[in-house]
Amino acid sequence: MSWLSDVRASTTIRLLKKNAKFWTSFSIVVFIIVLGVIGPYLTPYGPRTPTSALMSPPSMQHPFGTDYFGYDVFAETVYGIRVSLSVGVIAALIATIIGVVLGMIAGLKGGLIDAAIDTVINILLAIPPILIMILIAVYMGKRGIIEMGLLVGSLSWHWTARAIRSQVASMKVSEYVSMSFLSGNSFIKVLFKDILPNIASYSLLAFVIQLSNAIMTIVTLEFLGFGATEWSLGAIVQLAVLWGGITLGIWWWFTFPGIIIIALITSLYILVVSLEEVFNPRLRRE
Amino acid sequence: METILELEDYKVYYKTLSGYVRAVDGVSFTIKKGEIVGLIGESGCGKSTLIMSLVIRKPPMIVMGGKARLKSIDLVNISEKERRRILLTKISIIPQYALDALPTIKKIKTFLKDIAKDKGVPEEEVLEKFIERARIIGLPSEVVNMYPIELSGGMRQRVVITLATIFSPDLLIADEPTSALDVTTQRHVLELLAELRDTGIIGSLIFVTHDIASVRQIADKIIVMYAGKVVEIGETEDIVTDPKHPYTRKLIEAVPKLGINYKKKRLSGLPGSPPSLLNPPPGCRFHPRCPLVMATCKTREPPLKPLNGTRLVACWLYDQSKGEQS
Amino acid sequence: MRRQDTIVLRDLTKVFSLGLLGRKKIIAVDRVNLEIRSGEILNILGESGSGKSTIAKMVLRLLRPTKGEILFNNTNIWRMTKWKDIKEYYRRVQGVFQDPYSSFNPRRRVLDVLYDTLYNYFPEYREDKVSAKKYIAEALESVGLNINDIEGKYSHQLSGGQLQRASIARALLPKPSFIVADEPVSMVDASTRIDILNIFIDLKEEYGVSPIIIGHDYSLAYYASDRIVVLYKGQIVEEGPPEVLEDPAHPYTRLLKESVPLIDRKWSKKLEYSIGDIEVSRRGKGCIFADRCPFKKPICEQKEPPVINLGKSKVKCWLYASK
Repeated sequence: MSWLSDVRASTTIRLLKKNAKFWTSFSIVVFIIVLGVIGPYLTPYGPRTPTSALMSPPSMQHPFGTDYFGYDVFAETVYGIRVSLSVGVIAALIATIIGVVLGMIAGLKGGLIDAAIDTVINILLAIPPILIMILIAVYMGKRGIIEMGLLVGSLSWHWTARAIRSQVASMKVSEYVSMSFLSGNSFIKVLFKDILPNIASYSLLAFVIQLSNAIMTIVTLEFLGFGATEWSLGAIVQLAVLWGGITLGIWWWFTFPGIIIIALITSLYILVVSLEEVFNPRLRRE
Repeated sequence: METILELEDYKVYYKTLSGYVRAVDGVSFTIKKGEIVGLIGESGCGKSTLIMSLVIRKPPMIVMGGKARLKSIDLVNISEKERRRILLTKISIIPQYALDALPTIKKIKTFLKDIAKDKGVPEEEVLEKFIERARIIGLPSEVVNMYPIELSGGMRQRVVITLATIFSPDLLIADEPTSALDVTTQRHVLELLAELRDTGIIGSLIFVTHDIASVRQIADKIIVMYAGKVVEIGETEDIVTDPKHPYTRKLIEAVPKLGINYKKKRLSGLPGSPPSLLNPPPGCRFHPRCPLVMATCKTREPPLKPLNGTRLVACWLYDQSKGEQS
Repeated sequence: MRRQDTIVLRDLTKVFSLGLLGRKKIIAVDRVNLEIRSGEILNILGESGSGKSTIAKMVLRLLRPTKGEILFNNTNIWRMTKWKDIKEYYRRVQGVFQDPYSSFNPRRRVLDVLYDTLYNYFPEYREDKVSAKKYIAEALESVGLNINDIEGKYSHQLSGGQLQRASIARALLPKPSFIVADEPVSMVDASTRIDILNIFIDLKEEYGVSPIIIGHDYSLAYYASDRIVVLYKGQIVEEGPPEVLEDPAHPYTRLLKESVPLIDRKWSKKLEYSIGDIEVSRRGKGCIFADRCPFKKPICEQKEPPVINLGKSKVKCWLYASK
């Protein structure tokens, strides 16, 4: 076996370094995040600062032009990135936490609790959660960043829960967990020493998957008019469509935020794929 | 007798980040028609690499040199197309985990159709042949309409053997064909392999295993490999009753005979494990574990030389010239 | 000198339910009665499907029996509810598994798992790292390992043989009376199997630990045992000293003896047994081996054979019933 281990000594880090998909998508995501963070400092305008120029095309003064109402599209976009990303991160965090906790409980406890959680998961899989989200959003008194994050997060955890559940269930009967019990570790100790560390790295991946899905969902909701603010990424495009941005020929109104949306969602998706390739040995290509 | 397989200074390495793993490092032997050859050694000695390289070659595996001929076919400089053509018809393999190699969602019939299409043979012909062979092998003809999951381990192994030998290859390679089976089915499978040779369905058989007791039952000849090299070749009876190389001797001693209880006699195994083939030890590769190690062994590599009759041994103990240089 | 401990299996049964709504039942272990005393090496011999690993899991309290009980010094181990009691049981009954690579958490260093075990059973060593290291080094030495060879290593960095030794050393740390070893050598190289079995023999001879070795290799079972139990389809068919394997009474044990490849014997005559794949063959109301047995009588298919005492050994077969 000795020479086999030499061949096997290929680490996750090394694989990541080689993965061009990972680096491209990761750079784009980071670029958009940085744009959201420092963008507001690059422009004198806020998303709702009135300017004298209405519908003016991109210029030095207004790099993304201004819209029908005279708002600076660059300012709207960079503030919009902040809003959409914040909602996305909150939603992904909530979905990951609920998913990991419920998945672990189901996998470890089994029996009735497992059956109950599994039923909820199956219901969420059968009914598209976005429908439920729209229904709830209609009746929500306040649709702030946190509220929207909560809404999306609390209805997207089922994917993560299902994956964690099967991982934990197979870990529970694995020989090393059995041996950990024989080594005198109580259930709680086994949980912290053997099960949680193995779940941790997967949870990170689950978070990125959730983020990718959450952004997609949120932009859709924003476009349908259920945004947290008037100037989130999806909301800008929605306004542009509603106020005839296309017929009026104000292409800059929807094109720039549109490119950001497409770039963000696509890169997050590719990022997930590349991370899965690295983390899941079965997808590894060497 | 006709020579089926001839290897000469055959080398297969793996390319890794830290250098070349010399899994098969200058191996020479021939296999004659009708022979059953047992290839033995611990895991990590290059046995599986050697035989896999004769059938499929995929990176990071690299054939570094030497000759390998299957009858008139040059296996070293063979095109990928030609390799596909001779697979199953001239050379065939039963892989180590053959039991799991069959996808569970395909009927046996579908496999046969795939094989027929791949080889450009009419489907009916392959199907007929399979049923005819299955009868010889002791499988009911209904298996063609069954899924692998419906078959027991022993039956699955017999299906794999039938599939692998359907075109009567000149050489069949069996990699640990019985290790996943129960003892009672093991005997059947081993006897079946011998029968395939006796009836001329296959030309010759290479049987790779670390279980010498199984090899003993059916092999005519034994080749012992250690750390990428052949250390001993001989007739089965001679090797088992009178092993010459200290490695072979240790391997055989580590297998208990029936009727030995620890209270009567303490046996001992072979301590340590084979060296890393990334940096194999200088001289004889077995010297760090050899109980009879001499000064020469640590610096000079012993050649594989004939010793009385049919035996070949690579060990300085049997070389008259050993004293000259050390 | 260690105190006398006993494990008693009484009508131990395990039924697995498969398929939709658990309609398909598989009887893995079928009313097994066995008494295991410390001071001997017990070898449980069986093929796959014989239920031998299921017994090991139940004795190690990892799998709940369907019926019957496991008594450790007259206490039913499946009645224990407090972790404190279970841990005390594990202090006296330890386990070694078949695949050493899956026995160790790939994310933890092998030595850390050993320290963990020591501290859990002997918390006083937590304060005395020097003695703890000495204790672990001694345990490793008794299985032929040097602590420096595994220091800082993860499981994938060790060979199968080394790792299985480390696994045995871990089981030794609580100073148990019994070590249940489920196929401890089937995953290691043939050349090191004897050495691993020798460790178990030494443990009994020198430290008074009683190994319960579970395996499928006929001659290895003969070599490393004081008593043999032959299992077929969940039932004990023959039981006795290792010599029963040389001259078996039960037709199934005879089949095993005929089939096993031995280095000093070449198979000669044809087997008189049918191929009978163990997973496929049915279970009637008579003897479980009746469908494959060449010596079968009418009664064998109708009535379950009794356990017959042949003096040195016991056999469950109608052939030996008086009358």
